[in-house]
Amino acid sequence: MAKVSVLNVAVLENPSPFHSPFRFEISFECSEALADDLEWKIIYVGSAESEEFDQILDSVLVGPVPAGRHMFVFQTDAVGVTVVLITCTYHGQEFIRVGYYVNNEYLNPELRENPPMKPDFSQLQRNILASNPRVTRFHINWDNNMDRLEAIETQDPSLGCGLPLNCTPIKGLGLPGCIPGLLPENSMDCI
Amino acid sequence: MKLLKPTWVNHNGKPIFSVDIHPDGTKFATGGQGQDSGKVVIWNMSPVLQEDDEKDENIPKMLCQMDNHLACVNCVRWSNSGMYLASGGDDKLIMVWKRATYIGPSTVFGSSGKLANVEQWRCVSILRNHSGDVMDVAWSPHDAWLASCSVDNTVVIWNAVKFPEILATLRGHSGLVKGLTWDPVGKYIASQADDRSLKVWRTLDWQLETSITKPFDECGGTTHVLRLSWSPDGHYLVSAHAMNNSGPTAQIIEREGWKTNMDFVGHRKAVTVVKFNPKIFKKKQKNGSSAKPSCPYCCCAVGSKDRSLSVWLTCLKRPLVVIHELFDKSIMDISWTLNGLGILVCSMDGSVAFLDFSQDELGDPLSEEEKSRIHQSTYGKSLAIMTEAQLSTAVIENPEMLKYQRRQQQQQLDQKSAATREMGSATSVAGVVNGESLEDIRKNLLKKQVETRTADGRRRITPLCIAQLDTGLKEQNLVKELRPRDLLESSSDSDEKVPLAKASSLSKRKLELEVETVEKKKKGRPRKDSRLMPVSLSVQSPAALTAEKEAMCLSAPALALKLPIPSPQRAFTLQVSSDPSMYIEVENEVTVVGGVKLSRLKCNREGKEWETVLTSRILTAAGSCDVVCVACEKRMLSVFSTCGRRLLSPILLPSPISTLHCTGSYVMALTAAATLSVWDVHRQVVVVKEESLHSILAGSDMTVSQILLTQHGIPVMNLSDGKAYCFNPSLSTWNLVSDKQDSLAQCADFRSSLPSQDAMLCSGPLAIIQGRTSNSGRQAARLFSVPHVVQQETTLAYLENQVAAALTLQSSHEYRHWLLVYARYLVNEGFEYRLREICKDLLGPVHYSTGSQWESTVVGLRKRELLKELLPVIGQNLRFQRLFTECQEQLDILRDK
Repeated sequence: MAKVSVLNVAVLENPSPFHSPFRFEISFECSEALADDLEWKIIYVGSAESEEFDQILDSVLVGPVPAGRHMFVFQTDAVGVTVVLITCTYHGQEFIRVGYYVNNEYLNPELRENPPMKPDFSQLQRNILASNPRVTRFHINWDNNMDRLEAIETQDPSLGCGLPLNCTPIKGLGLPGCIPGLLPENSMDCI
Repeated sequence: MKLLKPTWVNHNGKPIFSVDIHPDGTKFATGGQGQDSGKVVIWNMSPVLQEDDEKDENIPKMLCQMDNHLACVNCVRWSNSGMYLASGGDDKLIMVWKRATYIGPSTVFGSSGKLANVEQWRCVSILRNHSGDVMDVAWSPHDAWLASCSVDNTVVIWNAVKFPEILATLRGHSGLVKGLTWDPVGKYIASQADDRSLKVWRTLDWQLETSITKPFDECGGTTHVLRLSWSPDGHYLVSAHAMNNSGPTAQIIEREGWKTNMDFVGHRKAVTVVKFNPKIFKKKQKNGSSAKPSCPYCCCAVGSKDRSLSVWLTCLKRPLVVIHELFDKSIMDISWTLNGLGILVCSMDGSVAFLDFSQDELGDPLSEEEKSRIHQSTYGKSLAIMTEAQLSTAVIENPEMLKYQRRQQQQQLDQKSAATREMGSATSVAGVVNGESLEDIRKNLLKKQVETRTADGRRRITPLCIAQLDTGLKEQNLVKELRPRDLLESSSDSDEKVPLAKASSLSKRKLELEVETVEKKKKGRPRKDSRLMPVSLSVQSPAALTAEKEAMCLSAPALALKLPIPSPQRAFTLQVSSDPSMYIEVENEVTVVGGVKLSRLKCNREGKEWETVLTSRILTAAGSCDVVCVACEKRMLSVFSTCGRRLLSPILLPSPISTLHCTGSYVMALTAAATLSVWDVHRQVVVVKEESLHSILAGSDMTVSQILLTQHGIPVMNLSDGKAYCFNPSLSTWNLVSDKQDSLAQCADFRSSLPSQDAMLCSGPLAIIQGRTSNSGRQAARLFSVPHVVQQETTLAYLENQVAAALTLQSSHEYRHWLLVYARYLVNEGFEYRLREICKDLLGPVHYSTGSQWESTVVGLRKRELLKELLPVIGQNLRFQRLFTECQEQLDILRDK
């Protein structure tokens, strides 16, 4: 069984100005003290089709992790993404992936209507769609001695389906027909 | 009979393999296949029982679901206490779940809010041992053991008091083991397997009692499970799938001689599950009918692959009821409610059915008392020794007693309400850490959290712990914290290397090895406390010696015992204690002016240092918080105060030193000739004078594995054969205080008489000598196999030994502990004479008389105070109310004087 379960990821200071850092307050529960650190990453999904364009925006080790409920804030300066993934790995194996859509839009309705050719970052507001995270959990080997397990434990229950990973347009986000169609016209992809 | 299929009990269409109703009847668990994993769900029972509750949206139907099993869950079972749930699955694991009370409801992150778990059940133990799918699990009566069976052909017995300890692995089946059941009296466990056999195992020695094959000869391994069941009166064992004249049956096996003359016939396909009603029934007395007492009977439900269910009464030749086509697929499991009137059935088709019977249909259930009387008369013992009901008929003769009983009831009530209050404030408790609300923490989390860089330059955050889990883990930690500091690591080390010492060729190597470890310990390992210092060393008996004379290089007299002597070293350091930090440094043969060689002794205590010089080389040193002593060559022993002042002129030992020890102001010297001396250097008196170890080491290749000097200057020797002797200075005798192989300790069962968890961790020399190995598992093992009378005798003898040992060791704390346990046991089991004798001794003469030899204290405890502590214990059993009153009155008289 998974030794670590994520209880909540709260997006702090949301919405916020475009250039302000991302802040995620992550609370998780650990059922048995971990021998090693957890590695958390924030990943920018460059392309829905391939992991090749994934960029790790930041990664941080979290530890030591005794049994109990814990909390920390994951802060990073990355800007301008449209989809952000938070993943956690233990011994190099990913066991949870949380995906958020990010909406970048002008606060000023006029600018929103007629966005300038060159984006005016100072006017942009970043809004993480925090109420709708996509959570995927994976079975991993928490001990050193066992065989690797690769089954997917659960997928987003709201979708009620068990799509295998490689079929989903955004890896692990489990939402078909994604970014271009869903994002508002004036949203920016600035990387 | 009413039949209901609650459609909301489902695993989203996936098969449900197991169902079990909680002993308190308020909830039930199902186990089976989940989306991509195994699934255990805990459901609320009231919406099944009452239609109003089913319609009420405020009443949750699902209480908790656990997706932690990696593969299909084959079995879920509540412990008899209802505290734990065990689940076993295709992932080869058994998980034991416990409800977490003070962490409030939570949702599964990322799922919609409705799926919140109302109750929190967390996995407290994962039992890994099986190499294949776990098919069935079963808790023994009284929850002492948990049994599991698997497709790896084995049955494993787990110590339920101490997970994940395995007590036994039952091997013998040559096919997949698919069902388990315990004898209600606890003497046997039965298993049924695909190898066409049903095996009955004894719990006494975990060996095979019998293997029954005949009724299964024609069976093919076609069922998913073979859940067999034992009748509540213990008379019958009923198998799952058996065959009779090529028809599927459930075979009835009689306990008496394991005869197989009867069966339940009628199902068209293999029987998958049999489940006895937990109640024993008797015919409902109809008004006007003859008052002829009817024989008590049992009731049994049988489920089959033919999708039908039959319910039988053992007094009827035909089934009470048969329900055909209850499901679309095979029946997988059955569970009765504790009152015996309801039954839940689950099926491979993913649905569950509930049957509700009336008492007219089944009969009058016997009370637990009547049931235990049946056990008592049939098996000579009962699981419930004295029930509340029996007591309530006794008349309370004395107002004090009445007051006391009332007070106790009130206390219980208070405790209950306190507990409920705690439950009520559960969420608020969870929301506060160290007096800070969760909101405050969140505000400052970023500032507060510690961020460091690892060696390779990566960021590392230390997460803030906001709640600890109230699981078994925490209890274990507590136990660790509560461990007395006196208990050093080395004591457990020496336990491990209790030498076998059979062949003398081995013992030489062993000797060297042990001496080495002793020295290592002295040099390296920090001592936590100087008061009690077990050190391991080996003593060689003459038999071993003659074989290796050359190795010893000592011309010892042929029949004298010879202990190893420390060899002189250039320098060594000895840590006496770490808190306060105190260590001794020795430097031998430091050349001083004029070619004179001296040895230097340095002592550092919390930074304060003193040093002194001696004229001969120092062989060994020891220290305590009061004294430092060193043994030198030429058999000299010197004692210094904590500030380095010489307390005595050098003592000349009768033979070279072997081991030196200090505790408080006591100094113990064990010489190479195996004589032992203890002195109190402050009072300057001898406690033990050159006492020979000959009497305790006589015989075979015994070695001393551990030496202890208590705070009262009593030396204790732990020997390699598991026995421990202490020297009683007042009697000048060696007394046996502990024996690891003591069969009494293994048979004794006094768990019900133990005061409470923390008091159990009574610390002191006796606990150190005997070790803290909880053999409650073994105790329980004997509980079921030994007749109750024998059990009582052994328990009494064991407890009396403990009391006497604590007394001999002058360990007042432990004496009080064991005396209270002993008294409680006497009270529980109703031994009046011994109890009266204890009280008499504790009370002493009420009226002063000159001829009295009575001592008012025992090991520093006031006897009458002890008696006051005993009184509430005595008051718990109404049978002793006269004794209670007598003591109470006499104590009052004494107080008034």
